Amino acid sequence: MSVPPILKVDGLYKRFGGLIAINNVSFEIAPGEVKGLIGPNGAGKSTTFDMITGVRPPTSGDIWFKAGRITNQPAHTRSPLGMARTFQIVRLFRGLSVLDNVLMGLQPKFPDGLFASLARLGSLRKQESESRDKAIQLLEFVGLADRAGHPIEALTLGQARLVDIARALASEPQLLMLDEPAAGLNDAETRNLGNMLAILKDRGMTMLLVEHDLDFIMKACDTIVVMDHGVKIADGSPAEVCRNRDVIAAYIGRRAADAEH
Amino acid sequence: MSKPTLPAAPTPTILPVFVFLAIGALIPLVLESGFYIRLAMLVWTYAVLCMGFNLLYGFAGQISLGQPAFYSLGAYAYAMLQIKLGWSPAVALGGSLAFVAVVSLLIGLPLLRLRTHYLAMATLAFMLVENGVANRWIDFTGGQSGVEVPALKWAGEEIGRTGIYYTVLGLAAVVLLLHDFLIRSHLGRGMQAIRDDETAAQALGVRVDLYKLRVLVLSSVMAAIAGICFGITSLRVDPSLSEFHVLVSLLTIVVMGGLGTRFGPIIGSVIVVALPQVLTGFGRFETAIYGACILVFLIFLPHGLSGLVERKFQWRADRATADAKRRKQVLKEEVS
Repeated sequence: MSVPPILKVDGLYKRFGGLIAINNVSFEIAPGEVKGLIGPNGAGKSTTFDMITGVRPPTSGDIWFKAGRITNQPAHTRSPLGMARTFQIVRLFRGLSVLDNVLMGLQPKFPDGLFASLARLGSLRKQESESRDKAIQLLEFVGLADRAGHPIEALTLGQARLVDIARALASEPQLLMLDEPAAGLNDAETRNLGNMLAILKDRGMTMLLVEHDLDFIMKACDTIVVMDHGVKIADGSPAEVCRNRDVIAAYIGRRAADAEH
Repeated sequence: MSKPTLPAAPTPTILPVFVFLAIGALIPLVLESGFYIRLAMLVWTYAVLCMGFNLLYGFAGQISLGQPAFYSLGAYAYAMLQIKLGWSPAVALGGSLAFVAVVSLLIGLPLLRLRTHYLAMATLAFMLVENGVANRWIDFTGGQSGVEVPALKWAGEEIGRTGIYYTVLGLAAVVLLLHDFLIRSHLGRGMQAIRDDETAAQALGVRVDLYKLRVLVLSSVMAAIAGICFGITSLRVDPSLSEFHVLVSLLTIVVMGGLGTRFGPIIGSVIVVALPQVLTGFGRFETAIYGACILVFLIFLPHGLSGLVERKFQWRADRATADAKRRKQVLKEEVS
């Protein structure tokens, strides 16, 4: 028997009015696994990602994280459970410095609310300075420690992505979910990102990657789920997925798939 | 991994807060004229009102134009609890704050689902309703003439102008310390995160709706404290507390002082309350010059006076970070 999965998506189904956006999608992610989620435009990747991150609830089906069912839990419950995400469109806090953005990843560890904070006034200063050390270490990891005090608008898109990843890592997640991390990056930035994800994988981080860049995802992932028109059409290693007739058909066209076989 | 060699962005010290309070404590010793002390009390009153608004709008990004209503409700409740129920001033203070907290909670539950100008309109409507009730429910509120606020007493004697001033200063000090603690702590960070991007804040585990509600209640309670300060200063509460001129003053103060800054509300209050006094020398041009001053602020100092100073500190912090980076680089080169 294999170890129980860290994330289990079971029969996910999402209907928008008359449109069935996601139809009976199931997959699992094992601890330490890097799973890719790909598909042509409109395949339902983003909707699936949104349901896993709690942004919108599924019409039916279930999502399990570790031993708990989180299907209809709101988005803010994910981070304390050990799930962290990044955003395709960079969503950093523009009024905060780079360092403060990363510190926000540690927010659930701080006392919640004014009275709770005042009650722990003594230990708060220590927690703040330890959190700052940790945030700076994370910025060192993504190579942006010298930007700690800078405003967000001083960053390039590539740097902003890295800050987003550092912010997500700050909560020490057991599952890191990245929404098109390579979108809009140049070659050098994409390579840099790939190396960083490889280091995280070596450290045992479980990851879910939604991506458009096929090259990038083939290199980064252990296994890949391919979706098309809201249905899962393949699930396997990059090599298996590349040979899959349905996958070739979805990406290039039915006739090309027939010609190859 | 070695200890990080880069300095953490310096947490601003609490020192300036004590400087402001020390100046406040010295005022009655320096300025003996009753007029100036009354002016100073008005500065603190508006500073308290604006600190609440600063937290709500400047930091958490929720615009409520209903703050004058909570200001007025606090003052009325403080007076009524003493007059009608015979409560002591201290108990009436706690009671009126609790009352305003409950009212703002009930207002906030449905209204905070609204955003931007919808929230602004809805809270403004609440202010108009509150003002209408204060004006028209004459049997209870005394209508236009309002109600008298019992004078503060100590050992059976009225405490006099200086005593009232220090009472106002004490209340303002509590609000100032809270305001500053919130801004410098992780809670201020959380509020700004909500202002900048609710979805991202939620993904990081921030309970956005709960945070917004808490900030609204806190800012309303601060407005109520300001109302009580006004009540014990002027010894009368009437419907003018929730009229438009209060809202205009509030907005002018936060714009001039700097929205979302640590000391904007205080600096803004000093200017907005004192400036008309200075400008009386200009006679009939007073209003025109006052308006021109506001325009100049809007155009040249979008972050207000306080923003000007705080940004200098930010630059200094950035430079410190950059310097440390260079030192690290030099160290590396020397080693290799």
